[in-house]
Amino acid sequence: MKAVSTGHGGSIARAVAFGAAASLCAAASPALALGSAGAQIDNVASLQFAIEGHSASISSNLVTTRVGEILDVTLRALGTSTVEVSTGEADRGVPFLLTNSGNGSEAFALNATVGGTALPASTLFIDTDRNGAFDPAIDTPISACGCTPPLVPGATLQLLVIIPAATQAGSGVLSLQARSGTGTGAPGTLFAGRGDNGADAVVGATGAAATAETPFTATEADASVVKSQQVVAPDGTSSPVSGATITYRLEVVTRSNARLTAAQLADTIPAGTTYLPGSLQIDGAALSDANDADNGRFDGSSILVALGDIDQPTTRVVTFQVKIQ
Amino acid sequence: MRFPIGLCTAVAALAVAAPAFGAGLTVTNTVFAQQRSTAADGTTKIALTPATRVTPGARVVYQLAYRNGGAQPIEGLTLNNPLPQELTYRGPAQGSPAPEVSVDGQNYGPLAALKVRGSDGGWHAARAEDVTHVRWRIANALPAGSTGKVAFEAVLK
Repeated sequence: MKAVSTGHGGSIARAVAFGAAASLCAAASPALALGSAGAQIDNVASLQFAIEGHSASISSNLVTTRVGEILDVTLRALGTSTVEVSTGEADRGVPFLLTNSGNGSEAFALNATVGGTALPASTLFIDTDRNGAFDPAIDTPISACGCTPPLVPGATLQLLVIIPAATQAGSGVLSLQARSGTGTGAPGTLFAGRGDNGADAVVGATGAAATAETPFTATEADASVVKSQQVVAPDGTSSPVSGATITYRLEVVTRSNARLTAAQLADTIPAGTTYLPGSLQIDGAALSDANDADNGRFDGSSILVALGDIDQPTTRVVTFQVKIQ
Repeated sequence: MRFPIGLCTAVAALAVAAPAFGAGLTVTNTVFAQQRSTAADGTTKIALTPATRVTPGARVVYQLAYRNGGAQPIEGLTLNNPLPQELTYRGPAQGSPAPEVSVDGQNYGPLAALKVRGSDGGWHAARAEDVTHVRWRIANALPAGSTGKVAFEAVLK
């Protein structure tokens, strides 16, 4: 958008080669993003002239240049402090933010490590609702190749790395690396013809790779609850689609020195799901949903199971089912 | 039947713009990528290579080479190049006369005489990145058989 106003703000009567210049005014263009990879730049000039007093005009030939793709990526850990987990915790997601800072559509390969040991792609999720916490009914697993879907220039993707339940007590560092799917290397490295629309791709200032780290501390818990889930879709697959049933399994383990009094297990039904009535069980025995003589109930939003007093190593398994709305 | 006056005017204008007089003048537009390299003695060398592919941040040079191939001298030659929007103007290329520039495609002058309205609503001195058009007006008549070149430098956004 350009607003043009001539002769504004007093004239500058500076003589130029072919006439006096007025003060010329127009609105400044807004800052533009990088030229889009694969775009075509066309340039043509026009010429006006006179021969024997007759004026005429011609156009130059058109010259065309194609914009190459710059490969750049940034990655940062969300949340600044050390993450504290209990050993055995199976659903603790650590959030990261990935940005495609290049000018083309690009997918990125992800590699997570904990204490230097590579984690499988199955520990990587897209934090679909961007709440920084892992929810298996909502968040999307990263495909087995460990790569993101293609991101448009400037797009961000919030990611979660699940800390393995087998992590030993102690301090560690969770590290995530993202690399451009087209390639990485020193800035300026050329991948001829591999950019968008067949343009050249060139590695940008970031080297087309980025790494972010989050320190964590794992502590041994007196009692731990390991939650796992199994999804069965109406078509028999494990896709978390509408109508699919999720069976949650809560394994309560107490250790030798634990002394728990009137212990109670509570778990809220995830948003977007409906509790399946009569599905609550402990160690394979059914518990009624009503608040009655048995130790379990469903209060409309959570399942609650009374475990009583525990003074020796114990393992109890509670299961229940929900349906995805 | 009476002819509308406006239509008569339009027909007259078309007749003047007929391309018969353009036959003698030819122009060749070429784009080069500017490549800087540091020589062994520490000096920077700038090489121009034909550019078919460029990446954001690259410096490019557009050159207009013209030739009067006709028998009559050409007068009042003006070369006007609207800047592709993907480019930011940098200045005249080495060896070329400086063009007049415009930030609206209508009013031309040296960059120092141009103003743009900023986001704060006030008028500010135009900067190179505000330039939308460049123009050269060749002062002297171009004799038959003579040639010339003008060129400007830009950066891909």
